[in-house]
Amino acid sequence: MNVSSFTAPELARELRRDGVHVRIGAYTVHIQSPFPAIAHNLRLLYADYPLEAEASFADFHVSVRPPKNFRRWLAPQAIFRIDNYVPFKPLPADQAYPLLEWGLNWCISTQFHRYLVVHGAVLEKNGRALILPAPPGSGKSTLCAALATRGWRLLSDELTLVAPDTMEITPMCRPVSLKNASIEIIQRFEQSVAIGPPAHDTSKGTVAHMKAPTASVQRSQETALPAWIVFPKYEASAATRLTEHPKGSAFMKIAENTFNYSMLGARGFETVSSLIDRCDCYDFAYSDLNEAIRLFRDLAER
Amino acid sequence: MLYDTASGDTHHLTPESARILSLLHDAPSTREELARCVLSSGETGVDDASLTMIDAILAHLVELGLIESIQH
Repeated sequence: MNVSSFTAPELARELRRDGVHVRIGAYTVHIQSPFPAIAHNLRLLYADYPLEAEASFADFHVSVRPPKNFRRWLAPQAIFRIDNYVPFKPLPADQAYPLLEWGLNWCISTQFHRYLVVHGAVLEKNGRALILPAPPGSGKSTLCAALATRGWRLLSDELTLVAPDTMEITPMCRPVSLKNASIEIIQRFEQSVAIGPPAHDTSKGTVAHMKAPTASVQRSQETALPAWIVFPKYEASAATRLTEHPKGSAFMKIAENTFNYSMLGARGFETVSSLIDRCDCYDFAYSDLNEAIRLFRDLAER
Repeated sequence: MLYDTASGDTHHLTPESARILSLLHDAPSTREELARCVLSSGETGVDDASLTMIDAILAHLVELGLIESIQH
């Protein structure tokens, strides 16, 4: 049974009452929310995800609800909770769905310490994983979304989970977060993709989420071994350019982009060392997605 | 790359710094001995420029808390 097994009213009712247990790759999340926008987005963007039985174990119990005070009438807000803990300040109610996605990222990046948790997108082709670590505004999610619509398997657009002992990357395949101009760029690039309604005036500007390809969701239990680390940078009018990045510097950039590097101590150092050893490292400048796709196809076929 | 288990810090060292640290890990050395090993000057004399470079590297490694100066 998948999320799409529910009709829209059924899903909204379940979310409002007992919540739903959704299997997302390596973990199960129990979600409760009365917000219609959450029900709408989950039904659209999580349609392919398996549902677990109501009494199942859940790694995270999360909710997005309005506050229980007068504000719910004057300036409606949404509050994210995990196990009744509130990690963020409330946001305007029309940002309820992005808040859920950001909250899930927070859950994983602060609690999945059995993995090295790198802030970066990760995709796979021919059994080899491509890691795209980059700060916001670098064009990482746009590139990730485009590659995912052109035959690359999406493992995550945000968090790369590396197992220290085996170096396997565990998928955490969820909708791709698109911001501002990227939303229209991806809509034009691949018209068949489903993109949820945009949320405006968030801390990241306008945000909308792209549905992960069904094939990627269905292979969410398959790990992949890292082969490339590419630091992308979107530059208007830039020629498509892939250049080698020195491994020492790549190490430091990965360490800086890892949520739990310090927490893992020597184990974190060893894991990043192994990751760098086994990957070819590059800088990548681009402005044309079609050229980018061709370049990465060639890279995967080498 | 170097991980300092005492501080939890990670250091990105130049090849020369890494070589000096490795030599000092094996045994204490003078700046002249280090210059001869690191700069491949063999039995020939070590010039002032080389010693200045070694001194700068040693000062940086001291600053990072990776080595300390001892009297002999």
